[in-house]
Amino acid sequence: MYKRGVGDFKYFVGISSLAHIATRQDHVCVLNILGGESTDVTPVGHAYSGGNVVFGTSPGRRGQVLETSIGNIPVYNSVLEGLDSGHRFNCGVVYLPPAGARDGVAELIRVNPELRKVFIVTEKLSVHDSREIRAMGQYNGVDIFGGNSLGVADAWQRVRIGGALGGDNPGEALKKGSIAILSNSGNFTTTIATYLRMAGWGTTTLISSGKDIYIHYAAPEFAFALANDARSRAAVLYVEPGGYYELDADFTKPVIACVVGRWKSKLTRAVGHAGAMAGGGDDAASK
Amino acid sequence: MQISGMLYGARLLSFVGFPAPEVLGPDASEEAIKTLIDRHGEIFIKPVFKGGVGRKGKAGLLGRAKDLKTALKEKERLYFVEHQHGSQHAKANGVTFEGAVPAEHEVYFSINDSTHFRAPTMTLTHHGGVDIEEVDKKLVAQVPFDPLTGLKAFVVANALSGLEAPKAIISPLVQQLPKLWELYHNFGMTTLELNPIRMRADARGRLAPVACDFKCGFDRDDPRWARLDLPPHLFAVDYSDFEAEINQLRTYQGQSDVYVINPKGTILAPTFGGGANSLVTEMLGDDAIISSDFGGNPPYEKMKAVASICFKHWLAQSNVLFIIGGKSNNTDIYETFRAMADALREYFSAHGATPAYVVIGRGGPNLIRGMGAMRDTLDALGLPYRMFGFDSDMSEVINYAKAVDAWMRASGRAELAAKLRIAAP
Repeated sequence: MYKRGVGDFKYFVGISSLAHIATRQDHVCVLNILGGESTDVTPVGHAYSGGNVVFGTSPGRRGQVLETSIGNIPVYNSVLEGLDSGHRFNCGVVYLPPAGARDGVAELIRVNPELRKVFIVTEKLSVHDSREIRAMGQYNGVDIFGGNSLGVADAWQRVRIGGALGGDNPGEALKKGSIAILSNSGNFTTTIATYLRMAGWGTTTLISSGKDIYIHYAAPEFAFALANDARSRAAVLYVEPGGYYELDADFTKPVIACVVGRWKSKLTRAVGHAGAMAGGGDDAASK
Repeated sequence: MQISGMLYGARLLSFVGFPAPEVLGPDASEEAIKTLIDRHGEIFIKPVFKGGVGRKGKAGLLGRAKDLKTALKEKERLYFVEHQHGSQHAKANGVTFEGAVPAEHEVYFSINDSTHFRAPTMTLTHHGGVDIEEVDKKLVAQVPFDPLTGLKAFVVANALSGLEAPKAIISPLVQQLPKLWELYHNFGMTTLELNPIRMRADARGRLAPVACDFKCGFDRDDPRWARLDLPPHLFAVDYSDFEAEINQLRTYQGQSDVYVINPKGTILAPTFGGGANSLVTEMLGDDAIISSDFGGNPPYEKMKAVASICFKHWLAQSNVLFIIGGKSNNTDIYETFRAMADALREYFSAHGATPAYVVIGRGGPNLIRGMGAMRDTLDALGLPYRMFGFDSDMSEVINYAKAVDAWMRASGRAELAAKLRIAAP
């Protein structure tokens, strides 16, 4: 059901160290690059990262560009067109609406054999599609982040991939330091980095995991990559109830965890984060 | 969004051809009930609850009858019965009459998306008919499988072999259980549980599975469940008027998730971001009226509509209007604040002034412009306010809002009302 990767996981994990999450060697293709959110967010991350987005797609808009402060990003109708034009990439970012995100991931995986990472910004993905997305990633040896993810960032290498992590001025929030962050909340990823900075702590790698029922890159693989990252001396986790992810995480460095959501045990339906429901041993108190 | 019981369960199972007993609904005539008893010798009478309700058997909410008089007596007992399960209280509205299925074997089957395996997972045991938590784990198979190929016959066969299940039940289950994946995956389910599946013998003694109870949960972000054409009232129990009104604005462009925490609360907190939603709701406790997440960069019109609905329902009783979120990633603070300020102006215009203290904690693009727009409106309306930027610790801002609420409860509200020249509450 899955390609063999690193570690002892019962599923594929390709990344062995947090230092490899977001690097200056990563080249990015953005799906739906001319959508409302990407138009605001992609140029900021692109400039911060020294120009990591090689092209984007938007059906019917071949020939248009996304302007950024360090040059225009070309837009094509499809991923295949971009590759045929000579571009190469190993990371895909998905800004498609929920009904299209799964097909976007399929396109990235099937068309580009060099694909290694996918970042899904899309929120409100159906569980049906998340299941299939995970299976596609597992078969093909692709690490997936999200859905409902604000992406990832590396303060040492000054790279951001995916969403608006770090806000509209990532350099302000992301100062080089020794703390890694994994957060179920996109907003809190930036907020925690900001609070750390004000207290004199910098960060290494930041990951917004999302809080859907399927979290494709979660605490167990974060713990593994943290152990193998010499830059990171400790980590801060922000987690909410829902799922047994943290139970399988083996942390070998100090961790400060903020667990929020005890009130969700009273809920009868999802509020806020879709995956943060409670029941049985799967609630904030148990976490 | 959950369904339990055979009233709709039998119908859903018929979509994929999985056998179910004969089921009559609450409006069955006495003649039909009598015919059912004659055909099966015995029937079960079960209360119909909205949503996912379990442990009915243990609570004595299962009726049995071999004659019409008993069946009607059980109908009367169970039709509006009330049931406490966990922290939920449910009241029935109707009963089903179900033909009994005599069987030596009872099987438990469920599918859910397991976070242990990160895949859809089948849970199966031939020691069914009881709560699965009570069955020795060694007697239960939990098998993840690939969603792209689905639950295949061999997956079921391997699981039953591993459990050393009786030979007679293996082949019929191998043939029938994979159909349930079709139901699960193609109609937007996130949980499906049949307990028990009873193995009924035909005239030649060959066994066939019959689903005798049904529970499923749907993914509200998956439109596939709409294919089932289920009546909307089945899921309506979840929402208050306020929640229903806000939910009509639900799109993927900007969240509009709300939940009424305490209709008698005194802090109205439009919150931005899922994480902020969790933290704020946890810290405010029962002082909060609603738990909300309005983040995701909603456009002006949507934000104004959401704010108007919130104010219409809750502003009059609120001591504190608490607008809170972290440092926004992409939500335009000017757009959202301007929208809320305009909604506030319109509320005052339509309903008159109300004494409320405004506390704001936010960060993000166009923050200062947004705060300026708020300041202008609040000054014009005569409302006191305090604003915090993104560098203020959110927990402390929440504590500040609680302290303001305490002051308002003590004497602040009356003072503010006097200042605004409106009658003291």
